[in-house]
Amino acid sequence: MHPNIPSPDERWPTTAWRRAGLMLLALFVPEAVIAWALRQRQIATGLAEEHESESPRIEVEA
Amino acid sequence: MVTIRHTGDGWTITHGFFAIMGGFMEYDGNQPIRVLLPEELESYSLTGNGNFPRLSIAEIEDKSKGDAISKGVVILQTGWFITQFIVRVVQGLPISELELATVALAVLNFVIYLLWWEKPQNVRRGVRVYKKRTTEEPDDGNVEATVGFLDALEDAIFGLPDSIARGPVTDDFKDSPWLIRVLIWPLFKPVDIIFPGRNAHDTVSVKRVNTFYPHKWDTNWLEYSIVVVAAITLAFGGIHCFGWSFDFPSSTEQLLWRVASISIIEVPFMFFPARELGRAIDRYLDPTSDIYTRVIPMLLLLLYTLGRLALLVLSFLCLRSLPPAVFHVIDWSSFIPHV
Repeated sequence: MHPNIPSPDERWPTTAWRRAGLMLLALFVPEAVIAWALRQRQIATGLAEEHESESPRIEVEA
Repeated sequence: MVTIRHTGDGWTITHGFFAIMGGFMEYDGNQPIRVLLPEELESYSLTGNGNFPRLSIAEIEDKSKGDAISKGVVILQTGWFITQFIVRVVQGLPISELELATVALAVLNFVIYLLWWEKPQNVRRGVRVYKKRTTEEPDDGNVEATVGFLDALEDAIFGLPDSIARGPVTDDFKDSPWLIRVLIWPLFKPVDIIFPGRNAHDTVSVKRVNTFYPHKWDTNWLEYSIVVVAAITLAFGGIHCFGWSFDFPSSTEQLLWRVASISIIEVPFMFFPARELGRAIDRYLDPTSDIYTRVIPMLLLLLYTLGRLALLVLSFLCLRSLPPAVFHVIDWSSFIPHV
């Protein structure tokens, strides 16, 4: 499982609950997780293309 | 002489995943303010002086709890299990129903794993970014403190009655009574994830993105995505159909297994026709409502859910009387010629 990032304000039981729920979802309706992961992948790919030129720059002594 | 060097070729898919999983958090000094969605990044930077948070792929991968070794173990383990399954079929050895159900899940989980290959695993905190500063720098303030195990547990337990009273909520049934929402939730939540409703919105919980963010499909990919999800459901049911004429402890169980497998396969074929049927009934009875458009596909999904449950329960029930050959190991040496 690759969950999204939890809120910095939430305590570990909340995060643990969410993870347990995701595990159950993957066991009973894996298609739903596939749909979610597929959607994320498509959008991540789109973002990578959109920000193709945004790379970290460092100054080097030559 | 000082030259500017780019450390990478710009954003990669890893950057994309990191942005949509809630990886960029606006900070004011040491205080997290809110999570930034990808389209908001332009006026933020890591220091407060730039116009985009430029982060290298190595810095993002550093936040991930997965690495080559953990990925390698997953691939090897799943690969070995599936290889064994295929070789057993080739050698004519019987397979238990539990193994079959596990293979079906393993294949799907493997697809999920590949789709998320570049997504950083189990990240707990986003990266601090700052809005471009116009004024003097504020004091940093306090950094977040660690909360003890017991305090956190106490908070969670006393917070529980609140969330029980509120009950689960799906968009379509916001105003239904508590009991209905609880009963309907397990059925509707998965559908909601696959087919977000018209009112679907990515509510911002301020300091994290939603569990299933992004909620909406990219419209350019919508048809393609639906075909992929349908094909996967089909493959999933198809693998279960492989047990059509396995040895079952009783003929009732065999029949149940067959019906359950079919009830999974039918969903991708029947879902849209069922919705059309519902829409037709709505148009005939009351054109202003869309209750049947929603309820009729729901019956299909009820069947699907029951089928999934039955397959899981049956695969364990069948363990009570397995054909003896299930315990025979594969004769690997028969694959080496001239031995």
